[in-house]
Amino acid sequence: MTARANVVPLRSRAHMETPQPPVNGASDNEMTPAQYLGGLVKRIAETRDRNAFRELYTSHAPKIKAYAIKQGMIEFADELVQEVMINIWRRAGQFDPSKANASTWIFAIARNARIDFLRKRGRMSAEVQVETDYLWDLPGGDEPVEEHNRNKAADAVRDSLSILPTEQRDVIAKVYLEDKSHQRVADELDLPLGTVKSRVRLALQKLNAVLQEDLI
Amino acid sequence: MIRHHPSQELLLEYAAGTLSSGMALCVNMHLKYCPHCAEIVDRMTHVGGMLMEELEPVEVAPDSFDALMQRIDEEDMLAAEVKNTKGLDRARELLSNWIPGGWNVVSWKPQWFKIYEFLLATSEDGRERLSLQRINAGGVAPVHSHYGREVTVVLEGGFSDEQGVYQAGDFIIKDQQHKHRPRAHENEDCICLALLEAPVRLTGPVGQWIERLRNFFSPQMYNQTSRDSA
Ligand SMILES: [Zn+2]
Repeated sequence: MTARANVVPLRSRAHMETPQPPVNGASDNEMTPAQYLGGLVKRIAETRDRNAFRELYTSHAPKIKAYAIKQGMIEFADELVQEVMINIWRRAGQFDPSKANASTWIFAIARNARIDFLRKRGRMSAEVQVETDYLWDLPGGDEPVEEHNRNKAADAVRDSLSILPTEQRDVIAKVYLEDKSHQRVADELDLPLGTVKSRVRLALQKLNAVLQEDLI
Repeated sequence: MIRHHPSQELLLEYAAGTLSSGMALCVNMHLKYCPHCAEIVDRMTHVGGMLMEELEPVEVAPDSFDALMQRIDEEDMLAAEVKNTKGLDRARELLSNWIPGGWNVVSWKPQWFKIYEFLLATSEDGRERLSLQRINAGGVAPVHSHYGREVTVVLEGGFSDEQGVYQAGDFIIKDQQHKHRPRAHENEDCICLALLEAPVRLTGPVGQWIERLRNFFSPQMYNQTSRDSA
């Protein structure tokens, strides 16, 4: 497997990938993709709406499967997709759109399902007997942030991510999507560890302006 | 006022879900006290969400949705809500998975004068150790450095050493270069969550003598060079 083959294919505008909502402009009476996705989760929670769930499944199961494969869980990818979807169905009532963005929430559920899967199979040696969801909280536990502010932060994060140079974006994507420590990313890209660390650092510095903006 | 935070890299690895369970617990414990880092982690998690949205979709089997619904119909249940409380309460609640009665009622094991430990978990190879540590008011730990990393999250009270003063919520990482001698504040006991990635190395005169005995009794455990932190 070459390093190149592992590079995550990234599209320039993430939010166009979510289910096909009205339009993308997000003027006052139009929904953003995140709001649309959040609406699906809400319908699942409130009325156990299977059509909404099917729609969410159709749009997101293939992404979760892609995530599982990136993580090197090729033979368990379908299993992981099912786990994540079951968790979405069961936890839908805990999702609060005023506290978290729906695709962030789905990512966190997928992340936790992946960790859970690895922990149960003992791939991580130093195991403590405690639920994964206690170690990695799902987003949205804290006080509600005004939705407007949350959306603003979300937009800012997305914009700054989209202007990262490719090389920095690739290392960040590897850290997020491929369960890679900095060392393993270095091995795969055939780069010195220091280079990987400095790319991560540079990417973080650029994201930081956004990550730290208006913080408490 | 929390002054010592995990590095950005560590927060990133937490959000991405690539830390060990023990390290994740330490980071999450800090997040219970630190709204600043919690907000950063939220935003970093958001980056993960966006990266996942951008992945090239991989087709799932056409009948997989029906199979899923069948499974859901057979075993449908709602997930237990993981409650979210704040600060000290949240910290206590997180630990209640190991110690239901809280840290006030655990049976502390004496380690040194005024120093106690309560072991929460060790890794199978015994080289990673997750524990609660208590230094009673005014107590001083022996000078030591580490073979690997030592992560400390102050839960209650505070302590100081050659490098600084630490309060509840502070997140501190020490490694081989740091020789230190923690000292609890004078007026209250200090309770910390500690993750030790390899055994502590005692460096004072008495410590060195103990160290030699340790080597004598269990050379395989204490002679190894520290694991790379990566
Ligand atoms: Zn912090």
